[in-house]
Amino acid sequence: MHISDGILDPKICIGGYVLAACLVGIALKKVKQEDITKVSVVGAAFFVSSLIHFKVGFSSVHLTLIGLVGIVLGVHSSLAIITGLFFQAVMFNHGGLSTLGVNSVLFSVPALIVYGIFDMVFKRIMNHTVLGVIAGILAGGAVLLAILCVMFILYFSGEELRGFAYLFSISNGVLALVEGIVTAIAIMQILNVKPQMLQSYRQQVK
Amino acid sequence: MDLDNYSNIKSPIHSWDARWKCITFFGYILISAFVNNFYNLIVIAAASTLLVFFAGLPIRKVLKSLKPLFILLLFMVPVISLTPTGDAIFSYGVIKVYRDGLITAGIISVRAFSIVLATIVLFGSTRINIIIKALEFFKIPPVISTIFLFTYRYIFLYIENLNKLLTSAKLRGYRLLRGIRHIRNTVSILVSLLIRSYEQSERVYYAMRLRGFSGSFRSIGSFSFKWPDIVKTGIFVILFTVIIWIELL
Amino acid sequence: MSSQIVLKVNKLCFSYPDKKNVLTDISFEMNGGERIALIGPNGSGKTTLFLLLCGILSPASGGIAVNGKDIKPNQFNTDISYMFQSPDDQLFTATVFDDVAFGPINEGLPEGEVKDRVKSALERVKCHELIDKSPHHLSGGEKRMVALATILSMHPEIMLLDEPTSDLDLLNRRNIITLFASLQKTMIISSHDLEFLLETCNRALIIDNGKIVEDGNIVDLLSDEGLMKSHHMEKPHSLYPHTHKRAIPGAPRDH
Repeated sequence: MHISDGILDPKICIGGYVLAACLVGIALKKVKQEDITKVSVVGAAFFVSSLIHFKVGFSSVHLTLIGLVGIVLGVHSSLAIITGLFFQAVMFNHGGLSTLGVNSVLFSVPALIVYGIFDMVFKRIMNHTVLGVIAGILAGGAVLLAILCVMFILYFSGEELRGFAYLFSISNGVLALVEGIVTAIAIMQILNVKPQMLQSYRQQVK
Repeated sequence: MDLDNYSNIKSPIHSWDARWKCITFFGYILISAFVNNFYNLIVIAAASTLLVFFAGLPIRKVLKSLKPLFILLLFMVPVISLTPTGDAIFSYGVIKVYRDGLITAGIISVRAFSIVLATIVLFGSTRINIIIKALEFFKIPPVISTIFLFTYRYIFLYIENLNKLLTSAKLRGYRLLRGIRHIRNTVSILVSLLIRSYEQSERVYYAMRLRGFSGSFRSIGSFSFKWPDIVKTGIFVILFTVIIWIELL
Repeated sequence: MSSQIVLKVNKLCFSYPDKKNVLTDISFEMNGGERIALIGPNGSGKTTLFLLLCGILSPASGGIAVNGKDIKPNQFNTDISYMFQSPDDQLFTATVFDDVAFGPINEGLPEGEVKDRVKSALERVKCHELIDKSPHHLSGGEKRMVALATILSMHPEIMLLDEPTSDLDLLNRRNIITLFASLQKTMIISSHDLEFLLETCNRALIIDNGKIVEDGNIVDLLSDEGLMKSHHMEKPHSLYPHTHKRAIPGAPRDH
């Protein structure tokens, strides 16, 4: 679910890079020494997890895991996202270097929103199932938000791209549903086995 | 997929100083994204193809790397050219192919090919740690370059781990699962990968601290550029000027 | 080899937040050049002891001193270094060179000396030809040897080694035994490979349930069948003279 090279106007590409640099700047202010390994090593695992295929009916989808990245890495998630997208572009040629900035913003902002809301909920609710379901809804919403933004950008990039914009959103709509279910189950499992993994849990323990 | 495999080839692209090469390629990629003129499209398509040729990368590997782009275009080109805008140049029953759409699809395809080829050449001819060091030279924050390096290292480890987990799951009938049970089992695999990575990140941090890690990765060795580097970059600067000039005409 | 005390551990206690009394009252001393085998069943606290000794974890009470100086947690200390059980924790950069150079660079050594140290460390482990490779292209055995080089390049006085033979084939295992014999270093080695420890170490500490239960000559301790059994271990085969123990009763004898 990335925007590939060649589609976007260079102004949008450069604008994307500027916004991405701002997000990275904010994350860098909050990064501590021990977070560097966490972001890189856990980020690598997220990258690899997004290679897993999920069977949906006759087709299969790749996950983006933006919601889960947000909940696990919190404010640092934009660092992991930009790194992941960079390697996706250079190792697998998904997305692209010219659109790296735009794609990073489109993934990071929903991830940060999910983290913000989940963190507030986490302070009030203890029940793992409820937390999982909320995380799932948030993650599905995050993907929908990203899809809407991509559609918006494509729609206004040129009259000819409108048909593509619609098809893109419809074909990725299923992804939002799958991501929601996957994130819900994943959060329930993590809460049972290793709650320390969640940024909100770590902050509460502190 | 493994970026290091082609970095030992001897070619004028491989011997290009990484700093000059990176800045030239990033410039080239951005300018390619900006091209609209018919002649310029031919120029960037030719330039990217020549880059592949000069770098001496195996053609089969390059084609394989282009596969995701082919698949995307296969879907995108028909959709864009069938979107009703302006005049139709071809029609068959209800299906109409529109001129503007076809042109846009063509422009997008050529740009995308040129950019992806340039990316393949850049990363196929330079080791990732050298590229990251070159980026540091251009003042990207050291924390970012450190994260890039470590992520790259652990991606390969986790691909291996994931394959092991999937194999052991398949041996226990994972393939036969359908519906929600399939999703639940796949999520279990994913979560166990993530938990392992979280635990490993703690040990890696200890290992780094024991060897004096203080927030960023330092390496030794310095870049040196020779006159061929200036010539190579110079050729591209001329190319950029011509492209921009034609675009503005 | 000096015989003065280089490591002194005094009444060390440690608990994790979710697990109490992981280590209790650990005390021992070590002379320069001595090699201690740290043995005990899984979960007995060996790795925790290592993490305390090298200053990663801070003890609840008690103290550790290297050459008379107290080890302060979280401080970079080149006197004592630790090799992790998994080489994948130890090798975290993009090339073998960068990994072996990581410690010396952080020590602030000049470039020439860093290169010399990398070269000699890799030569010691017979892996010099791997210098430009990426860690993910190495085999399990090569990873282990390079991980060892990352420690050697820092010229530590005391080496703590956690399961150093676990992913080695017989040839590399033999190489490591020869290498350890040639190093003039103080070592604590934890391993389940008791035959390896018998060849490498002169003293053994048996640790069980977070306590040191025995401390003495390695051959004496390991040949005590009752003692070994009571701590869920087996007396090594090489210490049974002229007998060939068979795991399966009735299996044909081959000589």
